Order: sequence, then C-alpha cells, then structure tokens
Amino acid sequence: MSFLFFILVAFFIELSYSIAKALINKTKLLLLQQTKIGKQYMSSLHSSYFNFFLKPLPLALVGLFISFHTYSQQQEKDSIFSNSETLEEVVVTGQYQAQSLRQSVYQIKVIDEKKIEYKAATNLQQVLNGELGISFSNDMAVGASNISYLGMGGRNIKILVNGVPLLDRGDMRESLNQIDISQIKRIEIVQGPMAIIYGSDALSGVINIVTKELEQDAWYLQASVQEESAGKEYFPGTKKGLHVQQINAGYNEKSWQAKIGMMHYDFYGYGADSLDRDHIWKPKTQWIPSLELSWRKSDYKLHYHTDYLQESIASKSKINWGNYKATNQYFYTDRWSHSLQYNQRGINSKWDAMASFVDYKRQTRTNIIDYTNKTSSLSTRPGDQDFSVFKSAIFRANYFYEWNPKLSTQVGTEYNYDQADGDRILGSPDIHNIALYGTAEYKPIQKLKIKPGIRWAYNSVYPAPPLIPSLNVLYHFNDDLSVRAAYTRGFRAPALRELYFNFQDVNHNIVGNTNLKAEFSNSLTASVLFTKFGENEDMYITELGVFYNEYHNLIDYALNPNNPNEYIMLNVADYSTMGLQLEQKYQYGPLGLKIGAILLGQYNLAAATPELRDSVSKYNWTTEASAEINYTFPQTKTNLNLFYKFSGRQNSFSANTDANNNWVAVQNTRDPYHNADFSVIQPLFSGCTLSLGVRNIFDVTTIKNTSQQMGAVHNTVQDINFNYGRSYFLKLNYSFNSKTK
Amino acid sequence: MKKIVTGLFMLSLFAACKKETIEDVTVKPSEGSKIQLEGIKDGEAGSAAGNAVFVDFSTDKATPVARASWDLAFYNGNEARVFINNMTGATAYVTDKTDINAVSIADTVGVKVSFDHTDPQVTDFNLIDAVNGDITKTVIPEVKATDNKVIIIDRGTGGGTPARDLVKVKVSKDGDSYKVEYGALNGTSVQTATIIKNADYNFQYLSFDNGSVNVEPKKAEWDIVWTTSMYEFNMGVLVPYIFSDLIITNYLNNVQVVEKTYATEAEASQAYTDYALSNTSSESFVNDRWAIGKGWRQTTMPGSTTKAGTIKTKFYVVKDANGNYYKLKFISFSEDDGGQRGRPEIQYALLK
Repeated sequence: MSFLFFILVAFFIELSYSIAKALINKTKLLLLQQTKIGKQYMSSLHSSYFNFFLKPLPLALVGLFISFHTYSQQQEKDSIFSNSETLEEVVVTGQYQAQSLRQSVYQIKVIDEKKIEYKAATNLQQVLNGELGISFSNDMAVGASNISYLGMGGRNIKILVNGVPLLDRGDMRESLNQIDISQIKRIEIVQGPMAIIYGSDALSGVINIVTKELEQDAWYLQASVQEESAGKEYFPGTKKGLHVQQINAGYNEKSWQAKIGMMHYDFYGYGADSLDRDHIWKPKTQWIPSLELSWRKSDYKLHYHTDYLQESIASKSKINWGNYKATNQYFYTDRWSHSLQYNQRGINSKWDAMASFVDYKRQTRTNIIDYTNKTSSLSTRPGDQDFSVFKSAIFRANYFYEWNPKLSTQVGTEYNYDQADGDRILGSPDIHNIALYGTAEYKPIQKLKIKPGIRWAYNSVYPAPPLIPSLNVLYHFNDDLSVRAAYTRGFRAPALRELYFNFQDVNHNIVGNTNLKAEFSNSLTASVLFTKFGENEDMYITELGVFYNEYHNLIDYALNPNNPNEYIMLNVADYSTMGLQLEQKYQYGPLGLKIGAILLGQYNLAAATPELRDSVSKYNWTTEASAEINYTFPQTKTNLNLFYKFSGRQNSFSANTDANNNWVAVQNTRDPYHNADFSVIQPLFSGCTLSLGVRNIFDVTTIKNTSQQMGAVHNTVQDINFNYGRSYFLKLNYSFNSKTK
Repeated sequence: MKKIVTGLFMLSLFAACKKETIEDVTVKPSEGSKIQLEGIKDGEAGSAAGNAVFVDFSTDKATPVARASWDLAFYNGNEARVFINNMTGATAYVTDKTDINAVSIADTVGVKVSFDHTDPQVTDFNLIDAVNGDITKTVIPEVKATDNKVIIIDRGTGGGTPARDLVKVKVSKDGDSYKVEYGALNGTSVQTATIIKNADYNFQYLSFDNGSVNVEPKKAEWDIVWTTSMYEFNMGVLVPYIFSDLIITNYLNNVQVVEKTYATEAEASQAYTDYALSNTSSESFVNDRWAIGKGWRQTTMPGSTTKAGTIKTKFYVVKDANGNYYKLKFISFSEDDGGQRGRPEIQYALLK
C-alpha cells in the first residue's frame, strides 16, 4: 500500500517537473536575460532522485502538449460571449459583476467549496498551505501563524471576506485562522496588487473569501463534528487533539434571508510535558458565532453580516522545581465585526456601497503559580499584563455605468479610519484615509479587453503615495485560448504600529516614525490560459504565468541616523521577486487531476551590499510542485483525494562582517520538504457525510534550517517548526435543505 | 433572533472564562539555604536592577549595594592600583597632563572618553579595566608617588544609570595611602580625599558625590556578587559590552569554582542532591572572576521562543577562602521561570 502510494506521488512530482522543464525550453525567449534560471533548474533536476523516473513519464504530457499546440489552429466554435458553460468557475474579486474566470482581466486562482470539503479543513491554513507560492510560518511563542505569498510576508497580502478587509493587530495575518471555515464558498487568490480597488496592503496579492448564499425559498441546516489527532496525541471529546464543531442554519424567502452560525474550535495543544504544560504547539480555543440578514427586491439588496470571535491561547511554562513556581500566560482576542452592504442595479448602471466596523481587543494576562501554597498571582513584568484595542471603520462606494457595449466605467471612493491603543504603541493614535478611484473597461474589438485604473489617496498622518495606476489587458485568441498582461502599482500604507511604535527597556529603544512613506511596488504579470470544456463536467485547463515584482521603501527597524542609541522605523529596503508558474487541471468523468509547479526567484539581500555584489547571485531560486488527484466511484459515491506539495530547498544570503571587518555573505538554507494529505469522503444516508483522512503523511515536524558563513567550517542549525506530525481525522457532516429534499 | 445571538455570545463568554486550575504537585522540603537577592533598588525594571548583591555562604548573608554609589575602588593589596566602576560601565581616558587644574573640557576634543554601547569597537577595551579583573591591567596606570597623570572619567550609564557629568581625577601614592584630587571637568573647584589601605577588604571606595563610601563587605565575608557589569561580547570580534545579571566571584580572595553540567534537568537535579564533600576531591577548581559569569542564565529577545531563565541543567561547586565547599544552584531569574527579574533566587548548601 505504502509502496503504491510512493509510486503515485513520485509520478506526480515527475509529471509536474517535466512540464515545468518542457515549458522552460518553450519560454527560453522570455527568460533570455536570466539564463541562470534555466541552468540552476536543470542542475537541480539532475541531482535529484527524480532521475529514476525520468524517461518513461514525459509521454504522458506529450499528449497534453499536443492538444495545447493544436488548439490555437482550431476553428472558433462558440462565441466567447454566450453563457453556455455554467460549469466554469465564477469570480467576483475586482470585477464589475460576477463572471467566469475566462472573462476576468485579472489572473485569479480559485479554491472552491469542494476542495475545502475534500480537505476537511478546520482552518484556512490547512487549505492554503497546499497552494503554490503560499507557505506559513509559525510563531511558537504566541501560538499564531503568518502567511507568505510569492516571497512576501502577510503584511503585504490583503485578506478580504466578501470584499471587506479583515483586521489584524500586527504584521502577522492571524485573522486567516480566525474565520468560520464552514461558511466559505470560494477563495479567490489574485496575484499582483489590486491597489486601485482595495487600497493598501495588496502588494503581493489579494485573498478574497466569498461566503455561501442560500437557495431561494428554502430552509437550511448544516452541522458537523470533527475529531482530529495532533500527531500521535489524541483523546476523544475535549482532551488531546483537535475538536471542531459547527452549525449553520438559515431561511431564505423571496425577499429576505437570515442565517446564523457558530463554530467551536478546540485545540488541546501538542508536545506537553507529563503535567500538560510547556506545549510545543500552544492550546487554542475559538468560538465564532455569526449572523447574517439580507433584504432583497428586484433591483436592490441590503445585506448585514456580523460575527464575533473569542479566541484564547494558553502558554504554560514548565514548572521550576527549584521554587515550585510556573507561569501561565493567556492571550485573549475578542473581535466583533459588522458589515453592511448595499447593491442597486439600474438599466445600464449599478451602485454598491459597503460599510464595516471592527472592534478588536487583545488581552495578555500572565499569572505566576506558586505550587507550595497553590496560589496564583499576577506577574508584574512590563508587558505581561496588557490590554490592546484596535478599531477600524471602512466605507466604500462604487458606481458602475455601461456607456455602450464597448465601454464601461466604475468610479469609487473609500474612507478608512483606524485607531490603536495598547502595549508598544505610543498614546492612542488614529488615522484617516480617503481615496478616490476609477477604472474603465474598454473593448475595441470583441476579443480584446483593456482595463486601466487609477487611485488617488489622502492620509491624515503620512504623505500618501501620489496617483496609483494600473493597466490590465485580456486578449482572446479564440474561445479556449486567452492571454492576460498587466502592469499594476501597489502600496502599503505605514500601519499605526509603525508610525507610533514605542518600546523601551534597558536593552531596547525602538520608536515609530511619523515621517514614514508608503511602501510601493511595481508589478508586471502575464499569463496564458487555455480551457477546454467537454461533455458533462469534463474539462481541461492550463495556465502558464510569468511575473516580476519590485518592492520599494520597505519599512524595517534601523538605527536612527540622528540618535545612535535609538532604533527607528525607516523606509530602508528594496526587494524584488520574479517567477514562472504552471498549473494544469483536468477533469474526466469521475477523475480529477491537478498538477502545477512554480519557480520563484527572490532578491538576494546580500547583493545589496556593494562589496558582495560580485560574489553572490542576484536572485535565490526555489521550486514548488503540487499534485492533486481525486476520484469518485460512480456507484457508491465514495470520493478519494490525494493532495501533495513539494517545497524545494530555499537559499537566502545575508551580509555580515567577519573578524577582520570584511564583508561576507552568510548562507541560510532551508531544507526541502514534502507535504501530503489523503482523504475519503463517503455520503451516508439522508444528508449525512462521513470524511476520514490523514494529514501530513510524510510526518514532517521540523524543517532543518542551516546558516553558514561562506567558506567557513562551522554552521548553525535552527529547525523551523512546521507541524506536529502525521495526524488522522474523522468528520461527520449533516446537511438538510428543504428545497432539494 | 437577537436572543439567540445574545445567548450564543453569553455561552462563548462562559466557555472562555474557565477557571485556572492549579495542578497537584508534590512539594519536597528544600535542603540548604535559599536566598532571594534584592536587586531592585527603587522600583526600577528588573533588567536594569540598581543594586549589586554580595553573598556570603558561610553566614547566609546577602548585602545589596547601589551599583552607582561609587566611582573608584582603591586596591588594598601590595600594588597601588585603582579600578573604575565596572557596575555602571564607567570609562576613563588618561590625559598627558599632571596638573589637575590645567585639565578642562578642552582636553576631550578629538579623543575618545566614552564609547557607544550600541556599537562597541575592539579599541574601546582601552577605555576600561581588564575584563578578567587583572589588577595589573587597569585603565588608570599604576599609582606612583609623583608624576601621575590626570584621568577623565565618564561615570557610566550602564544598566539604566542616569548620565552624569565628566569628572577629572588624579591619584597619588602616599605610603600606604592614596591621595585623591577630583572635580567636575567643566568646573574649577578640586576636592581632595585620603584613602587609607585596609587589608580586611579587597578595596576601599570613593564616590565623587559622597567621598569615602562602603561597598564591598570584608573580603572574607563574601563569595559571589550578582550585578550588572562591563563584560565582553563576541560580535564577530570580542568587544566590551554591558551585561546584566552577571555573577562575579571573589577571585581576589581566592574563591574557586567548578561548573557541573548535565544533559537533562532531572539529571542535574539528582546530581545536585547527591553531590557530597567526597566528590570535590576529583574536581579541578578554578580561580576565575567569570567562572560563573553569565553561564547560569539565558535571556530572551522579543518574539523569541527561548524563555528567559536560569539554566537548570547546571549547578556549581564553590570553595571559599577558608576551604569550605558549597554546592550552589540558581533557582529563578525571570518571570518566565516563576521568579522576578532583578530578584534572582539561589539555593546552596555546605558540603559535609
């Protein structure tokens, strides 16, 4: 069994590698200046064990590629504007109205409800970590994790729920794991900045989470219970392991809809000592109740959504047997968000407006437990007891007008208010931001769509960036083949925590800087999309994309030039990334297949030091490959899924000085690793579904990370905590819908 | 509908406010003595504790002394040597003048009197006494009867010490006494003091504010001192650096130490319990000012997963000047190991 599995996995690695390899040959022209990429790539192929499988398998893709090449010569059959294909993935992010992926000028990756179900994911991290270019880093001290997309950390990624931004207290996008996942219909990942419409933070990309809507005139009830082990640790119910329960109920009548939901996430922690203390992975509990109300008439819709999050993370130190004392530290998060959306449709026009308000509180409480007399007292250390409050309000309104079939425009305005208060923030600063923006979609000919956009912003604290432009172009060769190209500028406004940072103790003196400028990026992307839809749900999709992003004025700590005893936030760094990615999706009857690979180049920071420029390469290259396969037995409806992702070795360099005060490059290498999940979904009776599966099949817990000064003998190894190991889950889902009944 | 939502909120509130449970743990009576060192002088942050605490194992005495309460330490041994204050990170610059009245702020132009603690250089070792405490390698040259140079002293800002004005000072030897002239560098008045050697102590002390002061207990009445001190740090090369929570042994009075390290906490704990006088015969004790140093604790950075605390896989054996042996372990160092920064707890027992 395990041998079979290995063969299967190896097959997919090989498949995606070969495709990438074939494509590199095809796109040599594109990469003429970066011949290093090709070389490095080839050498990495030869050195690996994949050689073993190299010869027989490329045959499989020859077929795929033949189809790819012949289609461009085929006759156009259906008009691209007929809505004959209802099976196509529909996207909304940045669109004037919901439309098919093929019609979108943006390069969007869609993760649908099915995939979330197949993965039996309990949080978004479990869904997104299988995507190419996405990885997560874990902050073990506070039990939180942060996303990185195409080499950029969470603060440069905008996370939206139905177009409404999620609030985070710091650089980490903890909010991604503070969502009731059962309500998600679709996740749309847009590559490249979408600053025109969504404003700040969308430098590297936008992740828009679209929630489910109910069917007309129907009662709806859905509930699930999921039990999951944490590595080898599990006990049913509420002890060791992960326990998730959720329930959603709704009613949809002609003009109104109501929905309530609740999710309970209970992670017992992992790796504790015999007294259930000193966890490697901190215990975490979440309660997320939500309520949705909407009112709809033929030409307008009003929608109110509110959800509440209560999260508690516990960090219990091991007992000090010398004084019989220990610390219990708790991080409590209370977040209450509201959003109100209004849409109105005219004959050639459309209004939509959105207002949201988020009240976010985070409390840190630290107790010192004295076991000699069984008492607990508050720790008096600065920062050990803290209460931080963040408030954010957003108003956004768009007006869309279709002048004629060739030209449509949209103008909009956005107002943002942010306020923060708490540890490491000076005073209770607030900030206002006003923006005006407009986009136009022009179709000079049926096959061509040109979408320019521009945004102007004013900020009450820092000098907002001047005009932000963008230009997206889409060209359809025929029904199946299209190309997209875009130039977009993105920006990230300095956050309150950067403008008003304040941290002083005997060893540290770090302050914010109200003279910070916004970070900004220039992004160039191009992609070719080929789609072919067959009988029933059969389809074939290939997308090949290239991208180049440069980032400027990145904010970091640096010595204050006017006060050498003080660190200050400054616009110090420049950075860039480039890459190539390929994804293929194939659905044939009961069999679904998806393979992909990405080659990502990240700017080598050591190359920023003039003395080292000649001795290090300008970019560090990494590869990732992924494969997904699912099969549904037509008779029993049993569904089998395998998800696999390979993350290649990642090198990075930093500049340092040696004993003789000479500049040297220090190489940091993160080892490659494999991640795979497997699941079986079995529909039972009357709306019940049973899912069971295994996560992290390769049992990866830590990933080796080595730092070595070039030419030096000694190196330092620091492992990265990746996961708690191979885990098993079982989920029982019940859903009832009065309409389909 | 509202009721349901309110109900759900209430439910979630109750769920999160679980009462803290305190596990049942068997508390064993501790052997030997336990002392909490009172490093906090006046409510300051524990990492900038204002006191140094001298400990005498034989009398169970811990003596806190304000680190900034003195400026010069006059050696009571045969050599005529003067230390500057390592506990505040004081620095000294030796002028080429011998007339104290002729030295003014003008003498600091173009020379380095102090250094930037955030960016220390190798050459900054020239501004401080030898880190290893070698009495013959002080920044102030050996004191003679005549022709002594005037010294400019930065009294140090280390460990949260408030900055003070530069001082000029000249020390001369007068038989078994030191004759001291000192005054503000930007002032015109010069004070004098006479320091008489006293062999009961390692040093006699002088404060530029209060004249002659008591700092160290008698040399036979202390074994180790816990303090912030000038030390060294490897930033690619060794540079001078201020550290808090250092342990300095009474090396001038021949207090000797051996460090015992084990693989696990449990092993260390057992070994400490089992350690007896008979074990000391096979140890090689060292007389080194930094035999304990910073090796007994670890600190943490914001965002780091390492917890600040004592290193519980270690303990020490200390031999005092009278030939008594003590086993010594550090119990707590910060809130992360159930203690309080600035008030470390130690435990020790006389080996019999």
